[in-house]
Amino acid sequence: MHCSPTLQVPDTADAWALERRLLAFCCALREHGYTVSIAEVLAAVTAAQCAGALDRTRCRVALRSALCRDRAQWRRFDPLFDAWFTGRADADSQDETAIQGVAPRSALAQASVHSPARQLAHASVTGGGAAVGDEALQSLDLGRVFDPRTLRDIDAWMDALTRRLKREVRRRHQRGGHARVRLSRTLRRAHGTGGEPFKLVHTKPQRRLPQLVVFVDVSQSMAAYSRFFLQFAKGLAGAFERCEVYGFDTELIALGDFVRPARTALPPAMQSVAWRGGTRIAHAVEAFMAEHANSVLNSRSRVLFLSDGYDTAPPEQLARQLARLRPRVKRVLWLHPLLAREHGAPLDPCLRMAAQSIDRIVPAHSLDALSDVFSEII
Amino acid sequence: MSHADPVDALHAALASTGYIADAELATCASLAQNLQKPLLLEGEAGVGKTGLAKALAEASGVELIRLQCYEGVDASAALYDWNYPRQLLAARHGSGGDATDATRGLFTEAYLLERPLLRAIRQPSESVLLIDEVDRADEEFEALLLELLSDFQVTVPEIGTLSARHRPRVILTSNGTRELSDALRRRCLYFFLDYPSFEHELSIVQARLPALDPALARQAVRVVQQLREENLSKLPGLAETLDWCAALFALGVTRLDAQPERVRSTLVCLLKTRADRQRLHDTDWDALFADSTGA
Repeated sequence: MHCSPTLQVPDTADAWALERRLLAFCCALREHGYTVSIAEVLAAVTAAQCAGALDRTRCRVALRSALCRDRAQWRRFDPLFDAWFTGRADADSQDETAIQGVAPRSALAQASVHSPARQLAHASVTGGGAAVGDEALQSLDLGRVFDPRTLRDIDAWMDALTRRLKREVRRRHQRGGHARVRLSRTLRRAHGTGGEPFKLVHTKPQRRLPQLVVFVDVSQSMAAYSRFFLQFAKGLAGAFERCEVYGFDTELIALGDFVRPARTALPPAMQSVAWRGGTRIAHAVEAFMAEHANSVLNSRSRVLFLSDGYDTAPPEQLARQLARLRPRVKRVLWLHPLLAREHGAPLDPCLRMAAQSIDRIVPAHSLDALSDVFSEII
Repeated sequence: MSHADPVDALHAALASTGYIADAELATCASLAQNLQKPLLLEGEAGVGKTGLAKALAEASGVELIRLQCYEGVDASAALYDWNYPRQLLAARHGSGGDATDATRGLFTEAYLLERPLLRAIRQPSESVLLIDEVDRADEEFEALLLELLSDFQVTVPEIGTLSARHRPRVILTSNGTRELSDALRRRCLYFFLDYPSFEHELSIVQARLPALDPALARQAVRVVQQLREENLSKLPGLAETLDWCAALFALGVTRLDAQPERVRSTLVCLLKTRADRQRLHDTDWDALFADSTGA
């Protein structure tokens, strides 16, 4: 039996009501981060009709198959479906706990009121002081910047760094390896000369850029630096075609959609992370390994942590999680904002214990230090 | 045996081939068939993604055309290529010294070599097209698939557009080692195939290995389910469970806790990395085997 692959027009009032509800559900999913275009709405409703819209189990399967695009959406779908079609009061909270990184937009907008950028902006207004020169700016400890003019200068410098990164990445990308003879193309070209391959056709293999995975610590202990680190991560995402950015405090939050190059300013959603108190780096890495590692990591990946390494969990947990991560990637770099400030003082016990799974721990307290990181990446 | 409901009919047909699908997967596969849309199956290795395509082909009595993807797969390996040696011979044979005459008529279907995608399109009867491990292919290759997946046609610049005579049932599988493009995903129905539940896995083992002692099968499946809760780098999939059960059967094991030494020698079927082997000690295994006897 074949269903019609096109939408059937409902013939009763109940059918109309059900279809309206299905349509509204499809649209509501957009608020939860699902990409649902008109074509997808039509496909979903057609699938539901085909599977039997009155059978809740089949309707769920049909809508889920038609509307989900990946594993994360797949896992979040059932609570949303239940909330919409059964009106269960706990569905929303289930969704909130199930969602790692994608919250409804309205919630993100509310959260931005308490964002680190807002607090930093407030601090900068009360901080006073004068702007500094270029050289001083680049060596300035970012955690001690309060002056509004200096903050603006740093923003401009970050934008310039992004542009410089893009140029450098493009230049290295174009610098390919040795050309190879393409036999099939050469033979094809030889048709025009009666089968004599007078001219060889070469291919120039493109150099593969490394993939970046960036973890930004946005917990309370990193409040002074997290704004700049998010900006830096945004710059990396703009320069590298394959760059995934995650924020973490007590939970891991995927920031992929919010660090795309089209955005020029930090969006509210990016500022909504943090300020929950506590840092669980090991937990964040564990969540990453469970949810994202398979699709994100490969043997060419470079992983960057921008954090002071303070973890509220026992130190061995971070060591264990990084030991799982390290064999799967090319390089793990830890960008530590307090390293220069502490003048060789002992690292946090968590970081010390995990050091054998980290290739390099480098200072990241200033613009100079951040720009030096680029040579470590490529 | 006839079934009025297409989902039940498909479920029964798959079961007749030894593939025990759960109700949701059967519904989704039936939808893909009825809506004539490709089905993208994502999940860990060894959970039965490729097996579904094979079972669908076997159940329907149609040919399975398989394209195994890998890094660097391109149109000449997946779609079509020209028979260059034959073209050169023809050019030399018929040229008479004029290169223009020599190349005329060389780019026709007579010199076209079909690769799996084109073969599926030009198949005179229904078929199942399996595009396996599409995440291993490059992003450029995904773009190549878009026309095929949306319109069931391919365009050969020298000839024109070739449309499917019979739309193949397309199954794409991915282990999630790379994010697939949104354009590819939105052309497919999506199903995430997770590790099976205890009851489901047991029913699969019993269907595939009917000679295996039911009590041993329960024990084995319970151990595998517990292993999936451990912090292993490579969790055992359904394929590993079946391999392990077959090994136990071949060695004449009747109870896991009664012959632990012999059972431990078969664990190569379950754990595929050195780190995982070292993570669990003999005492851990003995505890697992003992626990598996519980109700």
